[in-house]
Amino acid sequence: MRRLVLSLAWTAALVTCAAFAQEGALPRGLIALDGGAAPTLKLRDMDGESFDLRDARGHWAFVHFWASWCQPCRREMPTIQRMASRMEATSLKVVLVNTAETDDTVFGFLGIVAPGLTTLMDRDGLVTERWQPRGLPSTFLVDPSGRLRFLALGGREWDSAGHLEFLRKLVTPP
Amino acid sequence: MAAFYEARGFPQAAIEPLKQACFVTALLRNKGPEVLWLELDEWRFHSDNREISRLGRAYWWALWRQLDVPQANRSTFRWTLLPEVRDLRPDESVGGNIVLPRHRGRFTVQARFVTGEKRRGKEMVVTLKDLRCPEDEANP
Repeated sequence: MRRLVLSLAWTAALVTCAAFAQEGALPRGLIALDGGAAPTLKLRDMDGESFDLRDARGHWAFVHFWASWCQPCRREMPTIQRMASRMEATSLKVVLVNTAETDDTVFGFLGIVAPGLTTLMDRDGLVTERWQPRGLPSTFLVDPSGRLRFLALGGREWDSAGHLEFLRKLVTPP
Repeated sequence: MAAFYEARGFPQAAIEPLKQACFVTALLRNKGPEVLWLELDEWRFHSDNREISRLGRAYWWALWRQLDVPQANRSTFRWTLLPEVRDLRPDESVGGNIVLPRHRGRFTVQARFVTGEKRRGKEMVVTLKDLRCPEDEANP
């Protein structure tokens, strides 16, 4: 049964991706990926709670890599917080991954810039390496079957009307 | 620039070689309609007609290994460097550091770019002259 559900979710994701590609409806700076399997992402968050991206199967996941020293990350993070708030009623899983910083740095940064968000801690940076983002910040959109479907090139305003519309369409079954 | 890494908990043994280096921070944005290739091997640095060799990733990885620098610091350092190769899509930007041996005097950077997904488009050369390491400003 679980296999059937995942299979249906994958088919729905493929239809959604194809629709975006056909309509040219991707927001500026987002590119479609080839649908390869997302690398393993298993980390603890700021409170020590364990998270495994595999547990998000069946839902679209917004996987965002960041560091407090990166200027575009500082500008982008409040827009992610607003986007997450606007998307709260949907099934989108917002997953933040801090790259190789300490608890003090991350608490200090998020407490000021985006107090409503929590993040996974990639303490040694090796999970980030495995995902091979093009730089920091980087956001991958992972489909319900665990495949990499879209990549956002650099920072952006995730709470803009265009991005919200794109994300809402993504999580709404066709 | 060493202060940036010092503030992020790099061990003192790693800070010393960073202080001896010259950091050039570059920010590039592809404003054209085609893919623009950033390929650092196609960039040349000159001072008094002598070429200056970059201290590339291999140099730093070997040094960090020798100094037993923690993995988290190595990762941070890695992400602050300008990528060696990047196919910049239209409107995509990239930023980071290029590291040179520290030296006195002015230097020139000549950056060569090719365009097109298959590197068959227009070639461009950008030359920046009269650059100086910040340390030289403090000790002319």
